[in-house]
Amino acid sequence: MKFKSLLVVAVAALALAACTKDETNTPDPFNPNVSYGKFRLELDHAFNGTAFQLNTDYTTGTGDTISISLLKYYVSNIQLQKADGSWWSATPNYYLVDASSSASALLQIDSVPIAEYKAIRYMIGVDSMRNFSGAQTGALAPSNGMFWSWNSGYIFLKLEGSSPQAGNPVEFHIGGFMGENAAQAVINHDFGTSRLRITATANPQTHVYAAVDKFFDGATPLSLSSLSAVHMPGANAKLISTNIATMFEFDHIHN
Amino acid sequence: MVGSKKGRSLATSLFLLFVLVACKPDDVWQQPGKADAIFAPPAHFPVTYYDFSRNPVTAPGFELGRRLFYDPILSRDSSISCASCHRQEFAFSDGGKAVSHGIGGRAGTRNSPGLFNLAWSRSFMWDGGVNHLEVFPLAPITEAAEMDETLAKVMDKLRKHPVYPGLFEAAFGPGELTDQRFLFALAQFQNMLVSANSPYDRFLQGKEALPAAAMNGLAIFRSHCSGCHSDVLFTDHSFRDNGMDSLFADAGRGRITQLGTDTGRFKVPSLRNVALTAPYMHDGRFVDLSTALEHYRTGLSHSASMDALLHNAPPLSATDIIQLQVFLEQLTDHSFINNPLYKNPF
Ligand code: HEC
Ligand code: HEC
Repeated sequence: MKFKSLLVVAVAALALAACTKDETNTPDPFNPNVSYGKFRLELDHAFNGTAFQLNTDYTTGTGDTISISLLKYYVSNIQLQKADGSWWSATPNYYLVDASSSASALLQIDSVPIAEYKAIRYMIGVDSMRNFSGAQTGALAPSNGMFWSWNSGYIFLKLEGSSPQAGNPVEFHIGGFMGENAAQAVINHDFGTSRLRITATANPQTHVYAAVDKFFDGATPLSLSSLSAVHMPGANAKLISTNIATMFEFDHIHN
Repeated sequence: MVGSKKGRSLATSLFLLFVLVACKPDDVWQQPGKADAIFAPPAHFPVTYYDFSRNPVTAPGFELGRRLFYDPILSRDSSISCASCHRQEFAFSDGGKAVSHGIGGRAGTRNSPGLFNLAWSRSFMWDGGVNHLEVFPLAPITEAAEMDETLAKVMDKLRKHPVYPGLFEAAFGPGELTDQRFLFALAQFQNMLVSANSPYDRFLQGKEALPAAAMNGLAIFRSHCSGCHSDVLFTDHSFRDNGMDSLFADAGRGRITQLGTDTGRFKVPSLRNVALTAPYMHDGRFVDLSTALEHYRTGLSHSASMDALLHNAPPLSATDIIQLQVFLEQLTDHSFINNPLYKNPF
């Protein structure tokens, strides 16, 4: 039930993103009637409530021990909701967050119309379109190692490491953009009573808490002795994407 | 005008155009774009699937792509180039190996197909796992049994190379040597590999007659084979089970879609230049063309997963097979395998 409604929200968000994109999305710096500002989205990684460190032993919700050596994922399709309920979509931009670089976890979003916003949503992953549009640049450049060569498409999230419970190295490469195995996770945060105030001069910061432990038990508990590697789109990747969808939680805004 | 002359004159004029553009002053290449485009689709072909507005073929881009295609710098130990497994004299297949061999002679699991008319293809590889020509090179470059290299290292080698950075700027204008530019250049070369001047093409254009046996073969082909190997590209781009096996060592399309119904389905290959691309099928199991054709007469698996078109096909006789072969030999394009534009530039 929870999963179904999540799916509905995800599909609706995608549909929305798809139809609003062209009309509202392109900020026109020459339009004198609209003024723009900017903001940052900061992702603070944690595991079981403490700041996340690579290559450190943690205990998952199912009691497995895990040490993570690599964690990378895409954030894209950022949208903000105005007080009147309407959504603004950022120009298509793709961010590759890498847990080994704090700079990569601080996303700068520019050309945002000046207003007060009450909610944000974004995608962990890469929208379908860019998965079959040929060679891309920037965060989407294939040399970033987040593209499957033999089964074209982006790896949305890569988590690698080791666990005594897993027979082999832990290698979760989660992606897939086709049909029922589409593994993008749409994240939606209502700011509650807080507001993100975009002004001409400030660069406010929205803090989101990224609970890496939820990867292992957010919606479905994973037992590393039975599943410790995913290397292609499919049912397992889809299942884990529902855990990924629970990893992100709104914390606070520094206006 | 006689057909073969037309083909030659097309090649000549392309070449001339090429020389001409190549001689233009440097600033012409500052803004590469449609104006310089040299890709000319044959009149009797459908519209291309590749979107050329994204990456128009220009003379310096094509030339750079050709150089990259023939350069072993793309492999880990500089021993293998794309052309090692894709040789022009065999319509860019590898000339005789059942499955291709990469670095240190490591054997792969599939047969190297010919490369031509790729601008009309919707998916690549026998299982269609690659969805765009531009991203294709990532597969052979990173595959352990092929070039066993990483894209990041290839890019590093190219950026430090004495010649390549200048060639990239000539092709794409000033700017960083990105992996997109690298992949664009290779796509430009591969998009230019157009094979459309076989005796059969000249027959279609009313310029040449085919031998009587080939005409009989054509009639049999149209009744038995065109359902999958459809005119004028000789493939309908679909994935089918043509009755090779009942148990599948290679899941084919099923490996990509994860659907049981796709197990044992492979991409319908084009049969253009088929006389040059032995051995045959995804695993190269048939050493020559007559053995491959005999499969359709006596070798069909008749398994439940075999395509309905073959379940329902009327029987073929031994003479039919001979005439089919005579017809298929009319699909060999000599101007393609001899075109100086595609030769090794080193
Ligand atoms: C070691 C031999 C080898 C090397 C090196 C190699 N290829 Fe291939 N190529 C193959 C094989 C085998 C296939 C079929 C792969 C499959 O279907 O799984 C293939 C398939 C292709 C296809 C798909 C054709 C189609 O119609 O589906 C293209 C395009 C291609 N290669 C281009 C290249 C390029 C460009 C390079 C260099 C970057 C290259 N190849 C290097 C062996 C090789
Ligand atoms: C139901 C669709 C279908 C029909 C009908 C069909 N083919 Fe095929 N053909 C295929 C597929 C799919 C392959 C590739 C199979 C594989 O590699 O496992 C293939 C492969 C071939 C090959 C090998 C090509 C290569 O490069 O390896 C030849 C030759 C061929 N077919 C000839 C014919 C002829 C002649 C006929 C008519 C008698 C015919 N085919 C009818 C689907 C079909």
